Amino acid sequence: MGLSLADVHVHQSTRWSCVAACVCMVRRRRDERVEEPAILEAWGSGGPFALTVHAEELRDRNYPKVIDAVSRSSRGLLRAVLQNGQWVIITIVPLPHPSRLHAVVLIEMTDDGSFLYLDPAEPPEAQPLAFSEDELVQQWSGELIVCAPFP
Amino acid sequence: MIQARKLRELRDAAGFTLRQMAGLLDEDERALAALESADAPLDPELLDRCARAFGMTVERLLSDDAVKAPALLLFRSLNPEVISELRARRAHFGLGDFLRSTWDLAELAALRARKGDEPWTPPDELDGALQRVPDGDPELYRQAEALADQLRDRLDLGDAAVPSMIELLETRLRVPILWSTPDEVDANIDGASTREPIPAVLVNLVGGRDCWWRTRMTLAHELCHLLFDTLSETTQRRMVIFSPHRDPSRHGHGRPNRLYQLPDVLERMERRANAFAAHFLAPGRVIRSLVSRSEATSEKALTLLCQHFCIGRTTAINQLTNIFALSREERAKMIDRGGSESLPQDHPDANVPRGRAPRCKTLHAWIDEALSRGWLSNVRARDYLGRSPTESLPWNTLPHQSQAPVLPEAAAVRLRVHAYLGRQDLTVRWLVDEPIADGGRWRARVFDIDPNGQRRNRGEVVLTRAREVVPAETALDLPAS
Repeated sequence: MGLSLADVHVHQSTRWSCVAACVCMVRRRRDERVEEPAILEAWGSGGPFALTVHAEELRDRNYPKVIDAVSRSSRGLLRAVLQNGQWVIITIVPLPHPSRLHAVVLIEMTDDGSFLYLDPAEPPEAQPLAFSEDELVQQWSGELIVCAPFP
Repeated sequence: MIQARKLRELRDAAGFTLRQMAGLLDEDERALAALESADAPLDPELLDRCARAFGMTVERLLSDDAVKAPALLLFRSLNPEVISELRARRAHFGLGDFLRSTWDLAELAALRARKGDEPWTPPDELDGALQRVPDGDPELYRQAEALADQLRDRLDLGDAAVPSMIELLETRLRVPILWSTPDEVDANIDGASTREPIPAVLVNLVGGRDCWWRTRMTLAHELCHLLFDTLSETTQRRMVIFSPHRDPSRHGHGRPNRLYQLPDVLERMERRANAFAAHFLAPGRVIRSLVSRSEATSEKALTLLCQHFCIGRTTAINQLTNIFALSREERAKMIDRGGSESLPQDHPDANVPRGRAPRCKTLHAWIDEALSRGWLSNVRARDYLGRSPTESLPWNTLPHQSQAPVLPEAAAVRLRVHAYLGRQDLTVRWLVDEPIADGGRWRARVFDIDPNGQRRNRGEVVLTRAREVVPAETALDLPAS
């Protein structure tokens, strides 16, 4: 990857634009010069956006859009995809005060089984963040967009 | 597409017809044919079934190494009738679960090594021990006795009975033992063993936990497979084998009396492993010193052998028959005479783990240690133990945080409702009340917050206990778009 994570990361510009920011990050990772406001303008609002509708064009069609987040096989699938170098946008209900869906981009697995991710709600200098496997299971809704492999 | 490619790759690697593969996966043949050529996204449930049948996790199934799985070599070496029997009795899933647990053990062993714990190493006895099984019977039995004697000498067992086969394998040779029951693995299979990804043995408790002399025989039999059996030089590391039970009520007409009729080379391996096990537990040289030819058919000799070596009556009869070259008639008389082993109920080899599968002392000890030291996530520990993150762990030795469910069932339901609401822009920001269990259903009220900060009810999502949304019973108050 030629770009640093700081170059790729997008801080969401509105309270509800996390999906747009995630889509923007994946497109930047593909070397597209794109800004989140342009995506919001194209989508015609400031959000909120359904991940599986608005990120469809990024999707690797080998993978489903919703899986059982609790089952072992789902986490195995997620790990296999990340080990293949593909990024995955998922929705979570963040802890410690679960309320609404929020989108983040999983980018890598660490040796200890944690999931590194980019969070559009956090500033660039905080990236990447990490979920332990326990934290992922406690927050992941089961929605996912496995992004097509990067060129 | 990946799913189609994987299914085809595995089928080719196993040498299965479409019908065989469909049978193994509980799929209709036409449906599987469609899946192999379909442009369809991965179905995690189908993938999991496939991984289980081939003794892998989904993660490994999706890797490039999937076609090197030990189970594929086993399937390739079996004839269609055996495959058909395995499928009919769902034995491939039981054997697959065993192999899956060996991958989990291998992952844990690697984790322990990374964390600086004493690394697990394969038993020295595995090095260079492989022995091609002879073609002819007399040579096969002579070789089995020689191998048993050599191993006993190497392990300094002397002439005494092996105090505990469980201890010998698990502690001394560091070979994990997994235990199954006949409702998990077909009762016509006594055990199984694999050399990769980690040497391990499966014992199917066909005679129950109390029949510990049978357990000893199975462990010795599998030890022979583990140490000595190989199909070819190139595949020896991947050898996995299962041991079908001999059924005296079947008449073989020249063939061994087994439900699973093995190819010749595997059948010879079975016979060698049986002979090895008998000699390993009750060495011929010691039997000759304990019993004379003239008293070899006596009940006294039988009881002496059973009690001295802690073996079952059938093993004792077979050893006396072989060592003193007893006639068929003499052997038949001993069998017909009935009687019992006169063995005590208590024995170290009766100490078999209880509880839910996977039952494996090594696996549990490694998980316990890894959790206690913070090396392993609570979710992964449950994966290895075949438990859902919504379940607690019944181990009092663990800290409360590890015992409690990672994700309470109601929280899992709530996340599922959020995924349901996440399908469209209109509902994505709605909130979900704590779901309530109601008979066979989960009910979750959903709401949003109006511009004045007031709660606005938006209806109810109804789910099955398996957390599947029931659209017909779900009623949402969708705002006009």
